[in-house]
Amino acid sequence: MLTDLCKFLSLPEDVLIEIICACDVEDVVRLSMTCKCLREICFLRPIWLSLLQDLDVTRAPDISLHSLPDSMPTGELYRKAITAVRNSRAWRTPGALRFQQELSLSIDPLTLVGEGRETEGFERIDPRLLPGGRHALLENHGRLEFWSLFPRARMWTATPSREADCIAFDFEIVNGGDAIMIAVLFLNVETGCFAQVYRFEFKTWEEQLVGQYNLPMVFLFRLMIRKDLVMIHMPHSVQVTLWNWRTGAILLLNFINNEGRRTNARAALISDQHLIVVLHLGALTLTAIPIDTFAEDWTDGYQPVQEKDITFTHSSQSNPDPVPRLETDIDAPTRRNHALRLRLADPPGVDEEEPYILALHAFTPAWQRDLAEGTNVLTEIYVVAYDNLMNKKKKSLLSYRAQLSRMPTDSGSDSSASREVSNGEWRLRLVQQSRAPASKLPWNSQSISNAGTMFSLTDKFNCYTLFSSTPQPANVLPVFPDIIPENVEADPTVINVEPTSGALAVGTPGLLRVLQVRKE
Amino acid sequence: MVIIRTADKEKFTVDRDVAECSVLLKNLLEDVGENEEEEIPVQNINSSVFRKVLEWCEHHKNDPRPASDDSAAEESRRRTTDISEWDQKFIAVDQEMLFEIILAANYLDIKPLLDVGCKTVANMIKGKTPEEIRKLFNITNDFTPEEEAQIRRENEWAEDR
Repeated sequence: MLTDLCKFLSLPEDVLIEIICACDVEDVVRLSMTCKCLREICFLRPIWLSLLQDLDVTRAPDISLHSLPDSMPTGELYRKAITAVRNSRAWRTPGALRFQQELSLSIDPLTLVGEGRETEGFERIDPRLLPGGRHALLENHGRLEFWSLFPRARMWTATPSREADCIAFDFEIVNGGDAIMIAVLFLNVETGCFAQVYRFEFKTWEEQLVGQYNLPMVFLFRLMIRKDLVMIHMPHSVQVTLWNWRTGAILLLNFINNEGRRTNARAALISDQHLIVVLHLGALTLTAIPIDTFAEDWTDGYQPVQEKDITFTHSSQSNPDPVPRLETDIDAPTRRNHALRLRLADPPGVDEEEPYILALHAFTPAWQRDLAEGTNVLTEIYVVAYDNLMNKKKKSLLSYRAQLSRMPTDSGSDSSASREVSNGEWRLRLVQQSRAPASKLPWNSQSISNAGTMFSLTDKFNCYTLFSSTPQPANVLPVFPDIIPENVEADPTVINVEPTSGALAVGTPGLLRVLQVRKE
Repeated sequence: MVIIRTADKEKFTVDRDVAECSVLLKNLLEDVGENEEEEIPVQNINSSVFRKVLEWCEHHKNDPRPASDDSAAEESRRRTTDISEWDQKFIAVDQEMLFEIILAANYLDIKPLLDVGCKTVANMIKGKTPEEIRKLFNITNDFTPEEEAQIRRENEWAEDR
């Protein structure tokens, strides 16, 4: 009798499920190969739901906020988990990474550019894939276009009321995936800059201009849209602008260090409820400021705009990691609105310079979302920097992973355990950090996938994996014609990684290419 | 003190605190009330296994009990793959006893012990080939050669560790 011999298989099914859930994805796959009975059990839905939820962030599966694991068929859960694990192994194993071309789309700039329009300085395609990889937004020689990739069609071109070039854009999928909010920044060298927000419905292909804001002349800007807010920030500049496109209100933020001087925001982004800024305050720090804090500081965009100073002071001389204080907090009885400030790196030595911030990324891991809805929503924050090379012989890539989460209501602050700060309502915690020797630095790379991979194009195609101390880039591929046509120089090429799937959009003048990790 | 009788008719006198690690015994004891004379039978468990389970309960009697409907505790319990040093030593038994402890923990409803057992079995599976797993648990390969070849092809990627 088989069952008499095999004690393992005679365990109750719920116990077997519990055991299998405690295994890694690879182990479950191998276990499913042993016999018919285990093959059946290993494909039960609760197992794949659990395995998927337990996947480490470096094995981030291709799940956007609008397609949650709870609603996926079991086969899809299985495929997502397997693909995530396989991709993660490929990224991290030198020589194991291969790409296949998913799409090659010719985009003729000449048909779009008006008669006699000056395009110098805009000879490029700057693409961003939407989650799912079926649509892309791209800046085509100064025009913002929205493309359907399957089937191929240009769905929309932003046509500002006055002649201007698109210099930055961002989007957010809203309404359960039915619509997309598009923020775009236009520049006209004679009349100045203006930001616009459009809403585009996928079903009806209807677009609507919902907000516009004029701002002074700027050139190299980053733009970000989340809900009602648009953040406008020039990396390494002193000011961050927040614009509420629904109300038209504006907030200009300056950061004042403890010596009373303005300090550059090295990088900034907005998450659901926070402004997240990387600053150099004696040492490299990550600061999360609840946007609520500024409730009183917004001004009407049409009036002369008041600027808001955020001052960081030390609470005591002896404490090297002071609790940051916002001016608005001084009179407030609670500390709820205090910004959270986390020191990432040690202060640079006497003859050293501060690390240079390369990229900042934040997302909510949808696959780990608690089934009990809305509890303990977590934001993962990645900071990537490289050591300034002036005084260093060895180049290195620094990566930091922090988590911003609501404090559990029942537990107090436990800041002694790990490097973390809390203000009673939110907690910011440094989860991982690594310094990896790097032979090349990803100069032209700004986007990071949720699984912690970055790419850069030099004479080679370089793949970097974060949060490990193994030499970087982890994978180097020759620039084969599938990536860039032979007659194009790598220089005017823009690579963008779609954060959830890790698919790459490569833009060269007149051409968009979409690359996927090859699944053998 | 409460008296518990195992399947092989052995009687154990146990501290109430210790017995209440088991949700099943806790519920039974509530029904029995303060009547200390009454014996509580546990039909499915032999004395050798029950003694082992009691050893675990004795050591963990002061641990906070997880509330049965606490999904947050459930979550953190599952996510941590570590087993404490004491538990590791405790669970270093032969496979037969390990499965008996798991079955007992399941029957007596002692979640944290069940968890230690399940994680220990999971650790035994970790990194093994299908053939090694078959040997480990005495599993008979009932796939036809064609089926097996097919399954192997599908899962080739998971084979190199």
